[in-house]
Amino acid sequence: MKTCYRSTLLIASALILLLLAALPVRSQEKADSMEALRDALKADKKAFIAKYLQLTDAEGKEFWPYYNSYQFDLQKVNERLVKLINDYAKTSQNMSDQDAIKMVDTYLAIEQDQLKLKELYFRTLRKTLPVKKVARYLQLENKMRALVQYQLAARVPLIK
Amino acid sequence: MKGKTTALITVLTLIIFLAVFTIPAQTEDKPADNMQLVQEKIKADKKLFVADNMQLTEKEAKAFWPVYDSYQKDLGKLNDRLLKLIDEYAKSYETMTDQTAQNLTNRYLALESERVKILQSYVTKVSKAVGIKKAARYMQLENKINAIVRFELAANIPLVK
Repeated sequence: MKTCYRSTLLIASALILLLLAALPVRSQEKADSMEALRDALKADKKAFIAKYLQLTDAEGKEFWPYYNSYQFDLQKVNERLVKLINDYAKTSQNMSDQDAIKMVDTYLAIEQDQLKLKELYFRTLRKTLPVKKVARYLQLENKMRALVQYQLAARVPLIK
Repeated sequence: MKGKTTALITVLTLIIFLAVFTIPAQTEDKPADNMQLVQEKIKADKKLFVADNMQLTEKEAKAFWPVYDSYQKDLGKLNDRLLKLIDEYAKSYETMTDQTAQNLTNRYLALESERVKILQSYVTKVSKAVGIKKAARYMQLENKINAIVRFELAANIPLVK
């Protein structure tokens, strides 16, 4: 019972953390309060990026479509991470070897995909935007990811 | 201006030493000063932290620690390159050219992808040594340490001007 409560808490806090960073909303989702929260967070992230990138109008026209597409792809990766944490929370107390293999493989695949995505988008962005602005954008995304990773590391318990 | 940059480099170097805990193998090109002692201490502390949390049997320990040491050595080389990157960034971020920005970004992305590859290869090695569940736990410990470093770096590295 206690374990169940702990797992629920873990899933809830991990979900919120990922939502805070992952942000985009899929149109087919139900209009509930979670979606409203995501909408707000999505707008906040966009405002945060806009504030620190200081793009000209012309740059903005190039940048935002790439940004939206990147956020969409990033969300898919983050959803896999949420699922992984969710599965982990359910099994972490009595994990089988098979569960552990699956967890490790999935985690490493997610990390790799996240990096590939980052590389792809940043290489593409560099073709249309000043490289210094692209570098700064990379820094902003990295800062946000570091925050999420830190919070997750603090909350996800060690495997038994 | 120069003072600010020097302070930044010092802070970032300390963060990496404190959290990354590595010792470069080639000591001959570094004077044996206090920094080396700090590194030795941190290296020992990390080992203690890992030992505490891994709870290995004697037999597991025999198989685990050589793999651990080898991983730390590879990680050390990677972190040396990260340190050099940050050092160059700290010196140039206020007056950065496009060329430098491109160079630093490419190196950063390459380092990140190598880090995952090295982790992947060592998780397999650790798993062969002590089983997948302990290997998974070890991966979690390294991830926790890495998350702290990333967080501190993200908090302390200023945006490119």
